[in-house]
Amino acid sequence: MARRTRPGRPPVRRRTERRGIRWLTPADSVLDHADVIIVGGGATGVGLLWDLTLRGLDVILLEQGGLASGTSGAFHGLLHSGGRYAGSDPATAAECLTENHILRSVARPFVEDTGGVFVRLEEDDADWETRWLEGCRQAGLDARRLDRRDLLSREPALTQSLISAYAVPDASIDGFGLLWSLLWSSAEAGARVYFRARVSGFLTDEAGVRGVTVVGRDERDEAASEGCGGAPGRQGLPAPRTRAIEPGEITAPLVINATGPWAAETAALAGPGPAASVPVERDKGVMLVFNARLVSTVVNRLRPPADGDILVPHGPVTILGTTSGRTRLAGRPRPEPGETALLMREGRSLVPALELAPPLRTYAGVRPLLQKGRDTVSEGASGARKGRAPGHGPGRGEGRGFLLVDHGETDGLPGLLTVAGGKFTTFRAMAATTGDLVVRLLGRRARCRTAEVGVPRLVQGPASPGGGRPAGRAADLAGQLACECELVTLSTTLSLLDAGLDLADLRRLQRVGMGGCQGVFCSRRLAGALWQAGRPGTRAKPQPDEEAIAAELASFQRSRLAGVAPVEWGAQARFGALSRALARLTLGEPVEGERP
Amino acid sequence: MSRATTCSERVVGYDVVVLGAGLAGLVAAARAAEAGASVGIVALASGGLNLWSGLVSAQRSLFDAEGAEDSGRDSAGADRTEAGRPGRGPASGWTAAETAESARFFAAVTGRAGLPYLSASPASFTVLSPAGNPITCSMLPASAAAGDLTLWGGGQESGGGLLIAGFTELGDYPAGLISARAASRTGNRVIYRSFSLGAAVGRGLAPRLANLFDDRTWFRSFLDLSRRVLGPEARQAAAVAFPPVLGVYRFTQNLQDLAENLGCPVFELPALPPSVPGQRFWRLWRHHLERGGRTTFHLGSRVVEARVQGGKCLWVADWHRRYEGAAFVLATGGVAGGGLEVPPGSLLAQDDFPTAGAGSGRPENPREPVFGLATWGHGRDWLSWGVRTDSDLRPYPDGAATEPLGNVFAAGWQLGGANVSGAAGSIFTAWRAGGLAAAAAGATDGTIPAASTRTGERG
Repeated sequence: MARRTRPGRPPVRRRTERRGIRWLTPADSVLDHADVIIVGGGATGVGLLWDLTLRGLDVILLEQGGLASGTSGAFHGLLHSGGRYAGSDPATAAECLTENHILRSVARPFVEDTGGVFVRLEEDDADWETRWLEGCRQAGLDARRLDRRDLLSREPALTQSLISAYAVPDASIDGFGLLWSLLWSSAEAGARVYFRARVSGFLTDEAGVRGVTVVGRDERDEAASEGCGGAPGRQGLPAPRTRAIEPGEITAPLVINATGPWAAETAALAGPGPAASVPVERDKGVMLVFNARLVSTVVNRLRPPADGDILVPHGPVTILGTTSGRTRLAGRPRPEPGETALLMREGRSLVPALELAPPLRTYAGVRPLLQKGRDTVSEGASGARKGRAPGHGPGRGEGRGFLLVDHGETDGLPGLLTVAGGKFTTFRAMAATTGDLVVRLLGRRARCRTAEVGVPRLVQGPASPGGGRPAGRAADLAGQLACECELVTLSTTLSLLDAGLDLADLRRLQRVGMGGCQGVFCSRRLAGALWQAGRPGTRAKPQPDEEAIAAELASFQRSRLAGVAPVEWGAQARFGALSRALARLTLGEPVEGERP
Repeated sequence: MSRATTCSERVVGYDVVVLGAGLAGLVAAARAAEAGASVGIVALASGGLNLWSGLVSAQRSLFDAEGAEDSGRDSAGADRTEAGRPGRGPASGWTAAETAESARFFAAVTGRAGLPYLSASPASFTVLSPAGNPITCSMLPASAAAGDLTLWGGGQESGGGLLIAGFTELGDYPAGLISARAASRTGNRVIYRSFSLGAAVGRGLAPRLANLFDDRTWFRSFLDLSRRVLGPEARQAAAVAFPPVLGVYRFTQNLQDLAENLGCPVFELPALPPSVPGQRFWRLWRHHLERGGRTTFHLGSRVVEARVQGGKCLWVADWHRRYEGAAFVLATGGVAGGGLEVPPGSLLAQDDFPTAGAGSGRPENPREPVFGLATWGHGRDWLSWGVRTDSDLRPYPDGAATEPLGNVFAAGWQLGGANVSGAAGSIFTAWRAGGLAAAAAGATDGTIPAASTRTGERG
């Protein structure tokens, strides 16, 4: 066997691990106990974690991937005013409006008050406008009529063919930032979070569910399940790591299934009965990202909700959404060229200049929608709704409310709840309703405080300055920029990577790789820095694991390129060709979009 | 035969006018000039050379052999041949002997230009990528040759292994990661040392550091520094690798001095753009062509107009001047270089391929291409999409024309429809286009100089 040398370095302590956030590897076998286990680390699960933690409960959250790696990581960043639902579902609209006000107050740092407008174009139905205004009145939404000329002078990119326009209190919201802060604040207060922790089964006894079995995921699992994270069996993935002999066991009197599009699969681990009680449909929505603020306010089209009729200014970009169509995939599906073409066509009728602004990339998410006309158990004031909204896309006829199932009542399996459906805007209300049921079932008395307690913004991420950077080699990197597009410095980024986050987590947290270069340059720089700063490997291999870092880099580049490929024309085609050439130079093999 | 011109004239004329000064443009110009033609290069700047790692690799089949035989079929099996759009990719007309000849020509010219290349044909070199992955190529700069993994890798103890040097001033060069991956890939001993070039240097991109290495006085101090930092380990090592910044002009001498100083072979690894090996190529080839006396560079020229009459191009013009030529080489780059435009939305839903906007277009209407050319390709994969030419690389105008442009030759893997993409495809098409253009211009077909003298063969 050949000799290998590696410069010695002290093992890096994971700062977040002490604070209760862990990233599992397949070799890990955890034993833990809490009052409540939440399965799923999206908006629903993290909102519930915050709610229950504030009520003083001891909570554990399990997530198979990273934070918001499913639906919550692929929404359009819109904090609804309710206007979008006013014409079809005034009750949902009223709920959105209430939550809009609450989030603007408790999550102020994450909300950009862009305001929103609804515009009706020449070709749109005038009767709908009347119906919509009536819906707004019912929902208590003050839709103020705007002067056409005033609006066009404020938003010159809008089409000249607009007939009427109304202002609503829409806003854009930084979903990743908000969820990370909720998670971190909960962990500070004693909650435990396990990422890359896949629930493999439920522990049951005669009294019902009493916990779950958990295995750590490895890179192969992720490549296989993430729609655009690279195909399984690709060259460059490290050999499978050693699996723990026994799966971990986490016990609690109550387990909450908050796995969104995976809700039925998760419930099925407890049996066919619980699975049948979770009637969730998967609906794919595609969005386009433009590398400029084309509009300064959220623009909605005043017509029955359909494809390509929302434009959200979000940070430095504008997001055009969405499409709707059934899908079987629960993960992150791949946007199809036909879908992006449809969005472009529809978007152009709102903003004709869209043609001149090449999209930066495209992405898709899966909405977990409640099936139409199924009997569901509902709890609380804003419980499950049955679909009733007329809409053009198939998914828009489904209920946009949420579902809360006590499997003790429906299937004779106490100790298991499922919460599914809903929208990002209403995640706090979902958590409040679920939390009320949880404390009742546990026989506790604690009221919901999420509408009063403000969420602090984590400016520097979990390891803030003063926490002490590793000296020596890592100090060389201080002061360098990791990402020129989003102006993120290497030192803040490294402290997060030290904590065990991977590049995909980092993107969601610090927007690294989401700017103009789409990770072409910054991902490679980070991979190098990651190794240099001494990213800890597994317990079996405590030194930095260069193969895992390289696989992480390859997977990050491929997933970024997968989002660029469907929008390659004009200047973006040039960018795509360039980034592929560079990816091929570093990876040494063909990449996404090329024939092998 | 060559017509003397001066740059103050409003109209200038050459045997061959080459549009574009990237890899393909320079190679085509060199071939035409060596065939005896007077050559005018009309280009905005150095094309994609700033981005080029300097490695010549044959990455994959673009219009592969069966695609050429069966050019009307795409991957889905649908018939794509249309009446009135004849012609196929030139791949069918090419032979291995010609490909090898183009490589020999390239190696000979670049050797004379002061940038020697080694050729591994028919085998290939394997070097470490900027992320430590193995990448293969058929030719590579002599400055990188000692980095071929087969020379020191392969699992056997080859006396000390590899030492990878990095500079802290050069941020985007992960020496540590490369060394760790090289060690696990080759099973050999690989270590790295990152050190500072001194407080006065400051952080910078590769080209800035490369200019520093051209300064002899500074380089002497660097020799002392590297001996102090790397010396003890270098004496044990089989070779020492540096980032590719060891000078823009003096790199050959610098590498030699470093090797003597450290007592072991020294080479450069490829790096991310901005790429010094590509800049060396641009400067040294330009000097070489200008020294040859037959080539004139018109840089900063954006071609905005072309006059085509009777199936032939008579002249092209930029904002200031008209360039007349007996033959033209179109080397304006592919999609990445900006020479081919992909119109908005055009490749998404439609099954047809759009017109290629070759050339830059008028400033008042950049959408209107200088040459509207017919294209062809495989399925919807636009990377398998290129300009439709006949077997002599002459492109077909867009529309119903059945005859190609008589005196225009396309060079570059995407414009010329090469059967390999990347640098190897560019070199091959440019070599052919340059030769064909010189012949079409009636230049005295001077014999191509013997090519193998400076070509290093692998031992």
